Amino acid sequence: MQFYKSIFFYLLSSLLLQYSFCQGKKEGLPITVKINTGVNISNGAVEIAGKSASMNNDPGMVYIEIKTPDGSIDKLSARADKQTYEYLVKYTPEGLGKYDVTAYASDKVQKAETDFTVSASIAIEESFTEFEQAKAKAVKAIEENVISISTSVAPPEEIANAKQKVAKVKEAIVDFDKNWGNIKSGLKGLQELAKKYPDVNFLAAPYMGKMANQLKQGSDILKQVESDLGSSKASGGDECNRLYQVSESCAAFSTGMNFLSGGILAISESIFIDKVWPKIEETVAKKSFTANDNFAFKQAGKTALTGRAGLKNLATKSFGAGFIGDLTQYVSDELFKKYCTEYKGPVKGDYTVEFKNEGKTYLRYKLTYEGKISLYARKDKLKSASIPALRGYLEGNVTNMDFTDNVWAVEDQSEWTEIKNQRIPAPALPFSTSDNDPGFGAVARGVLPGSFYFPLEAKMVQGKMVVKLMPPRSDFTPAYVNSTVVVVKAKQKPYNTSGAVFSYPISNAQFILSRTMRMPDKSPTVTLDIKTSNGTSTLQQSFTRTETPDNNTKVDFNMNLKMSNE
Amino acid sequence: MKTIIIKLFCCCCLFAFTNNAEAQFWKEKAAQIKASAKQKANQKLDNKVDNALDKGVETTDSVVTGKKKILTKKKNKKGGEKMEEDNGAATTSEVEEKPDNEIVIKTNIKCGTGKMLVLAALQDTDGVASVSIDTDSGKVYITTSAKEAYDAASDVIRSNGFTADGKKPTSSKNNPCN
Repeated sequence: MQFYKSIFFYLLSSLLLQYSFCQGKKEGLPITVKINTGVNISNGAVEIAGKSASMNNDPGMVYIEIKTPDGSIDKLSARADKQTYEYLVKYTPEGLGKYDVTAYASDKVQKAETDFTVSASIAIEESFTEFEQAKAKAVKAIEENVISISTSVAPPEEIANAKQKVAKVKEAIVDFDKNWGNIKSGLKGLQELAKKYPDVNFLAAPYMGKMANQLKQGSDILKQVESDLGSSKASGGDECNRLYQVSESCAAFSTGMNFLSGGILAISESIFIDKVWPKIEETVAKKSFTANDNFAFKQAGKTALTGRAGLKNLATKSFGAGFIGDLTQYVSDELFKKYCTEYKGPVKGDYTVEFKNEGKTYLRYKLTYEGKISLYARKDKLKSASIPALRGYLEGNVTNMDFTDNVWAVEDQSEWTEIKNQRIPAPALPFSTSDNDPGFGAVARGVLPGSFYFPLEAKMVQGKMVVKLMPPRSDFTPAYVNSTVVVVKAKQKPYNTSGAVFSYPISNAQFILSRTMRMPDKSPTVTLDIKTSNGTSTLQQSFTRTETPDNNTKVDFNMNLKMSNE
Repeated sequence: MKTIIIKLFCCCCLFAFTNNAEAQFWKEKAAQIKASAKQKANQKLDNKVDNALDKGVETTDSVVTGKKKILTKKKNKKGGEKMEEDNGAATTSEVEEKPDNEIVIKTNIKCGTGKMLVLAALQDTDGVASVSIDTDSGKVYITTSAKEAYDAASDVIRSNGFTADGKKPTSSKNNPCN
């Protein structure tokens, strides 16, 4: 019996280790690289970014080699930030084609690679079209969903109200389009001159590239709005779930438009007021422009400035929450609150893992998370159905990460003297983003580090709520790790120093939440008691669990959950 | 039950061992010859390198290329040691290459707010390729694509209320770090 018991504990321990701790030691300092700019044009600025550390107390040096399409190598360098370990360097490519990027940490042991492609300046026009199409589709999706849901849940007079709110948004979009059209016209005029005069191209390209990137990033948010609402419509049936998604999509739409308008205003200021226009006027226009080109140049500038002034005015009074705020409020307050019952409340918990080797603790981390849980259903269905079904979500983020390790508990230190030990905990925002969202929406919140989002399905059975955790829409990514950079020197040869990075993967939220609530693997469900008092139903439960699969491993799970329909 | 499992395990091990025993013998023989030759060569190299490094002499290549060649002892998988030549791959902070296009400006930026303020302003300055600010030392590290970037960067830092290489701020803006 003892034999089987030890096999069982060995398997359990292996499973836990696989999920929670798989120390990865890599010789050399850490280095990552990525390209921040989505659209890269000739003579525009390409942003190369990543993370690295240093051997000493200075910010870590990063060496970058770029193999250009003609085979030559361009060399760059940057310093990584001492606190965030992030670096950012701008590179100006000239020829068209594929560029291979290799980044080395300061000790040149580890390297990271990526690439980017430089397109002709026509890519800017493609980004104009992409943005306009994404915006039109997002507005259409919002309109269709609002009208469709209000038709389904509300009386006819309410539908007219819904149509009025949508019409107001469309009017604001028309105003935006008019002003954006003028800015675009100015940009196109500049682009025509850039094709004819290389000096104009040289001065304008970095800012045209910036504009294209701003439009690309904004378009991606707007595309997400359309895709989310498309899936919401397809899922059908559950109007409350769709209303929730529409209100989140409205928030995402506002985020996208704010981001775009802010960027367009700032970049157009650089182009038409501060930097590009005065320099062209001073250097190229006076010396090289023909009379016709001079006229076109001035006209383009005037048109763009008119558009910019109009957009600035619109942004001041109508953008932000106000741009689509009326509609968002209408969906979440008038429709959702009127026709749906929602059980909602806070979730707070922590998860601690401790590993020992021969009695010495070599890894301990405690992550604390906060978030909210919400379950909703149509009021009429909740009353009439014998087993009412609800939908909702459990959303949160890591708010604190305590992390300690001792690499020498598992590594042989006899030949080395440690000269640097720098722990890099996985990033944590110190507040619950779902409770303090300034209007980003779930999509934008989902990409924050250490965030998670699980759709929920629930049923009310005999005074209890059976809640099922559905597959996550977002969870901790594999890159969400704690790590430690260790620099050592050989005791025998003190001039011989070297660095290594130890990475410790973190259990994902699905593992943490399902284990905390003791959910079975095959069907991750939990049953909560419903207590009703003075017409308010409350579901409240605390979960505490400790697992010690062997003498060297200890895992603690804690969570408090409370939701009510008040 | 436990005894049966142990017996089965032993049988499997014995079978695997007899099958591989002959091949293993020849492998080991070859490895012994190789190791002996390598040890002799390594000993010679070790002595030469130790002598050279103790005298502080760098290899001819390092003088030509500006990179120090360092011979590091690395443990191989079998637990032995081998000398590896690290071609220009700097393994000490002392040999970190300082690129020609890096400028370092000493400032009094000692807080996060000041860092964010100047970082944003410098990243938008012509000729600045990358910026890093160390609030512990107050040093601003800038890599540039233009020689005149030092003056531009220095102006940006001073116009935001900070000193740059001992020069006073040009703006009356309050230094957020004070």
